Amino acid sequence: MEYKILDTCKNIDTIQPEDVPIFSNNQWYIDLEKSICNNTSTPYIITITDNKNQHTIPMTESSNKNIRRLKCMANYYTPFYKLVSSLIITDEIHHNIISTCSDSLLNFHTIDIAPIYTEDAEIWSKSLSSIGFKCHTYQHSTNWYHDNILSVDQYWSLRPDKLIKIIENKKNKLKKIGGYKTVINRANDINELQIKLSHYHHIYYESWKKLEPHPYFIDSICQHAWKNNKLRIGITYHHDFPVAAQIWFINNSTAYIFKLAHRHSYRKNSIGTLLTEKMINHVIDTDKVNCIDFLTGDDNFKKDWMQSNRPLMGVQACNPKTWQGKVFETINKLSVLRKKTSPLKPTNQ
Amino acid sequence: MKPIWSVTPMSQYPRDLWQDWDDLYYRHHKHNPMLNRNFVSTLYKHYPDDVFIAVASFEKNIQAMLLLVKTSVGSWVNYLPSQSPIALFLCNKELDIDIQNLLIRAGTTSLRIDLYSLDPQEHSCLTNQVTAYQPHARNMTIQISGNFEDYWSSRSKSLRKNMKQTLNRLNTDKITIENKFISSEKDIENAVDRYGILESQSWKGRYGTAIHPSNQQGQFYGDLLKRYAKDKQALVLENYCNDTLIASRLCILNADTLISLKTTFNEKYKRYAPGNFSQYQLTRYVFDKNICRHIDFYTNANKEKLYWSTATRTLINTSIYRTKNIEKIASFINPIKKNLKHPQLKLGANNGV
Repeated sequence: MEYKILDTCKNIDTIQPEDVPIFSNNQWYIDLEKSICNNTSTPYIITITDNKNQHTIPMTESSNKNIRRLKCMANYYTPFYKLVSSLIITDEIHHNIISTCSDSLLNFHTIDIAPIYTEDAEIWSKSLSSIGFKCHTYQHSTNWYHDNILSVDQYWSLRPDKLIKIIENKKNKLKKIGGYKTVINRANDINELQIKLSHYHHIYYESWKKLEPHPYFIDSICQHAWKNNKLRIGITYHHDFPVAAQIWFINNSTAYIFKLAHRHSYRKNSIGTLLTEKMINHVIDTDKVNCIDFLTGDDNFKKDWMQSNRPLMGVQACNPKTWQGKVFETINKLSVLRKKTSPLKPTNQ
Repeated sequence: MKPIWSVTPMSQYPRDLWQDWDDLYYRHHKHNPMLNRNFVSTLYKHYPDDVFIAVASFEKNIQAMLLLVKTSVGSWVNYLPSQSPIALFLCNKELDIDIQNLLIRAGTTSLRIDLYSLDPQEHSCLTNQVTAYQPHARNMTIQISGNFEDYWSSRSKSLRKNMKQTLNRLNTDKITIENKFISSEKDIENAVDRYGILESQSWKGRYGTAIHPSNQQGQFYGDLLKRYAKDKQALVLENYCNDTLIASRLCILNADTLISLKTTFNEKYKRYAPGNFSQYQLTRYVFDKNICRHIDFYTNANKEKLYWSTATRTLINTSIYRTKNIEKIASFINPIKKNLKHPQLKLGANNGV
């Protein structure tokens, strides 16, 4: 195995299996690089090659006040971080990848990897520890999901009565008001897609959410997903005026709920809830998914819609051969100690 | 006699503000689509501030209107969100204007007013009067007279050569570019959204300065062009290569002037100079259809851009003080203040604003 460092994700030439989730394919990282990288944070892409296979670790490097930090290429758009690889990464492959580029990784004082699933956190922690880093694992966020879905009826039979009642009441209310229509499809051509994305952005602007910091990221990733038939956009119109929109991705029998928004002025009619209901029915019925994933965030409303949750973890690896790494290692130890001794705040890990 | 100023908060303006604005606009600025109420009121809707209206009247006739905001104790500045390249100031060009009187009427503590982006074409009553000012931007215009061929043959050799190269390159690569001129009210908002989506893919998107339907700027331009389109005064020029949008340009216009507000292009097609191509097509369209008498860019033109122009004028910034004595004191204190803030600057470099 040998490795090289690339300075942009555009040069990643790792061929990935077709069914890789949109959040870990080349295009995702190309678009993310544009959002994340600036004067203080530059791309640091490690590509590891053996005879047949190639694996890439998209990272960003930042230096400030004598501290060299490496972070996985991720931000608030990232639901989970994965390597770009032509293979499914096993413990052994991961270990070999990290060992191969260990001299490069050991140039850094800290390495941060988040958000990742618990099993990935263990693998990262083991691999980085094996080359000399001291690893601290912590809970970064929570992921709500619903797997083993068999049918629309089975899905709704598992929902709390309270949610079903709200949906019924609001449906009747909208029927009485009249003029509401929901369209869920994949957009027939690029022009239709752009109109739908514009509708989504206009709604998002007038929603309760913060301004979209990198709207081109959303446009670009949606276009990419659309080309691969992985995008589903649902829009609710009131007399042809777009009032609620959702962006979902379909991959490998899983529907990922990526973006939700509704106009603040329409909040009383729960149009977002009703659109979610329609999207769920659509992806189960038409796309035959057996899992729906609400991605990142422990929002209270998600527990009514989803059956299970799992922690999303973070790993901070500190280089104990440097004083900077030792400082971070000490901070992590103290943080664990504080959590253990604090009666009000439960320990995450 | 000089007119008398009054200064009131916008919310307490005693009459119909936009009606007064309209009356003055049609009397003195109707050639300029950027100073009409559609522009100013849309700007205020999307970029609200504690705006004051300064009105200069002479025998109950309004002679000048200026939107102001307070900056610090004793200081005022004209209300000028960055989307407006021109001072939102209407005035009778023949007026003997007295800004010191404005400061007196604005309150006892009003000592200075900073006025940015004064356009000598629109604000000559003031720009002809001031002696201390800083150049703000070198604007360029194209006069529409005669036919396009005559205009084009009078352009510099290098501009014509560059455009010929672009057209040849497109020919060689067998690329046909379709120009779409969108002006209807029902289509204009989508065209502005497409503009935003294209601009966001450029370097401006990376730095967060691009317009986009999801941001304030995008909402402003969408609303603005929709309002102008209602009066048939909006135009979006789109250039397509097959189905791909490679350049887009947002314009507002009236029978006298077309103003090119913003332009963007697809960086993947920069080999075909899409910005220049778009400008070439727009100019040709305006000449051929005899739409108006001028194209105005409200830009700070560089050498390359100036090759297109038939005239230029410099927009200026200036500061006006309540009295000569205050101005003298300020001219002594300001360089010291500046030097304290930026010690690398030499004393005496201050030019007023």
